[in-house]
Amino acid sequence: MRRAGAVETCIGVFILTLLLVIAGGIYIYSASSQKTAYRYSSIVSRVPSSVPSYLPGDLAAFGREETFGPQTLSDKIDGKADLYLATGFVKLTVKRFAKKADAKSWIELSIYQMRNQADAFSVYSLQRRKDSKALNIESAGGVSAYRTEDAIFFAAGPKYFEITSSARGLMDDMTILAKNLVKAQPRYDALKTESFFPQESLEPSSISLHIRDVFAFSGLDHVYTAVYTDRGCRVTAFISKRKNPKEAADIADSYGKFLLENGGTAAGEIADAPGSKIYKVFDTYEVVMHRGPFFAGAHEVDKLDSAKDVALRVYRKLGEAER
Amino acid sequence: MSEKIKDRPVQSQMDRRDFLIRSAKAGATVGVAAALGYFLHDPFGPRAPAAKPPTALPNFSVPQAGRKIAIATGSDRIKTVDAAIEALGGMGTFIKKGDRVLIKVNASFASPPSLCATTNPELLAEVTRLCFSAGAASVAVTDSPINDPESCFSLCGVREAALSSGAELIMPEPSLFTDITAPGTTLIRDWPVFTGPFRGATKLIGVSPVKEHNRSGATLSMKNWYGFIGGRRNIFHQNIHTFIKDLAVMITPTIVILDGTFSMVSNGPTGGSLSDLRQTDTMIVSTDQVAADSAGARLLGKTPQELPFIIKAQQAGVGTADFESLKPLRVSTG
Repeated sequence: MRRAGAVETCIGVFILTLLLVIAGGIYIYSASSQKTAYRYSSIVSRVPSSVPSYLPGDLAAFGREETFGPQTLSDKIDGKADLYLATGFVKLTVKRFAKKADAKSWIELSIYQMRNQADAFSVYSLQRRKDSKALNIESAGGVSAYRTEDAIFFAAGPKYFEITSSARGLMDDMTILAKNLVKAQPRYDALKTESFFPQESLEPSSISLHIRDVFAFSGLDHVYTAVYTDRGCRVTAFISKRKNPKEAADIADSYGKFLLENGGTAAGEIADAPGSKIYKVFDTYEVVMHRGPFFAGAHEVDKLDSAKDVALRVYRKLGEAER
Repeated sequence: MSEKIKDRPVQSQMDRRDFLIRSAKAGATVGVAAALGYFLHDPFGPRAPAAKPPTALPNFSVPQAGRKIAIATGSDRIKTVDAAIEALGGMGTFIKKGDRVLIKVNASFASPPSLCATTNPELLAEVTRLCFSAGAASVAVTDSPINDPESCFSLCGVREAALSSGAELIMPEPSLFTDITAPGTTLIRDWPVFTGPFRGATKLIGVSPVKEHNRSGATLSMKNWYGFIGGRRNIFHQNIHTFIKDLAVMITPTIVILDGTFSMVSNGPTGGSLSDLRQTDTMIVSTDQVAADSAGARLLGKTPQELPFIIKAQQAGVGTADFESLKPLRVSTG
């Protein structure tokens, strides 16, 4: 019988060793990855904080910088991680800064790196606080920002920023910090779709971007919504730019079928908006239409007239966009 | 072509002995692989019956106290918690001389007290004081935030409040976790639980804020026990309502204190701004954690039916979702 040569023996040993390593890895992972009693130090990547150039002069680094990936994000923000993970989350970096004169007055800066500009705007818009105020910190394009009594939130390019504070009286520093951060970002053009909403009776800062499963319909993604007040009635208008007119028409059709399958009934159309359809879904009205590459309409409106009026204004505005 | 065939080295003939040796080796390899497969095979997967016998955690309830709930209204936490506990007969109803009290706080986030994402430190200090006044021999405060516990305990103010009021702080050290299977639960099977703080404790008080929660709908008294779970506990978010019910089945506290002075009504459970809070001026104290959560749900504008974990816990016999049936003792602190 021919004996194996040296090369064959080496290859055999290599393959067997590789298989053993894989088996060992699988065993170790399955035995320890989920049940390790306590493992915080191994999941938070820590690096010493340096003083960033965007830091206002009266603040100093406080604690150490932390970074979180998709696997560890919920360790930092618990249940709120779902929103980010469903919206193109890449990385979270957290830094804290304290007043040099008072260490109890501190700021936490959270920088969410998202997959793209739309994802960053989406998480920004879906968490917008009521009664917040628009904040002008823009020195470059594509920045959306607002402030509350004690915090600043903004999206710039593919990043979403939160600056929160431990005490009142830090807003000036936080604003400077936000402006400096914006200056440090590359320039991005503003997202275009949001500009297609007509301005009349539009509630300021109500434009949001929903990335997936919009209106509980799994086939609907990347939809902008905006809130209008029409004769006392709250109307949510929506616009989604699709790849081409056919896709927009197909989505309008499939969304209409979805509504009919879920308790909706046909309730007419808007005469001046060809291809539009109105559905009555329980006690509310839904307008579904398409124009060019846009899928649009009005969602869950209490009054039919308000739904039609706002939807028609959106339809006409989309006509301008087409031109 | 024929030349090439002719030039190939001739394979030596296998004799009977070689054949038997090779067959034996191959058979042994197959046998070892099969034995390994049999040994390592997990026929049940994650739903496997517990490898260890179920381990019940101590029951910290005070049977004589019965099932009670008090709801105090007012903007001052100290006054409302004092009033609510007084309405239930005073802390002495629950804590006796020599008791070793464990207080489970929510210190999950390194956020300032003003954001109400964590247990309020002034409230914690007052509850600690009440325990000592009732004769407690010791008070320990604990939680196990996954992310950077040192920062969490310090920045949310719990560390200073606990230590300055004479309580001990129990940090989540790996040696304090034990793999257990909690009897009566669906998901807590052979899983690391933060059992260390229970050793020697004779009473357990949960002190938690009222918050909206992106996944479970709300985080109230029962979800506060999440901090007793180790490992990669976020996997239980996939079945959050059943898991919260399991926590309530596993842990029977002496009382729970639900701080709804401010309720986090948006962007929970972390919040981030005072804009996420609504002043609801309510303090709920109860021996029935299900009833407490049911009452707390109202502060978020929710019904128990909208929070399945409440109904599941009731069905599991933990308590009642109909807190009004306990005839709540309502007090106002003005």
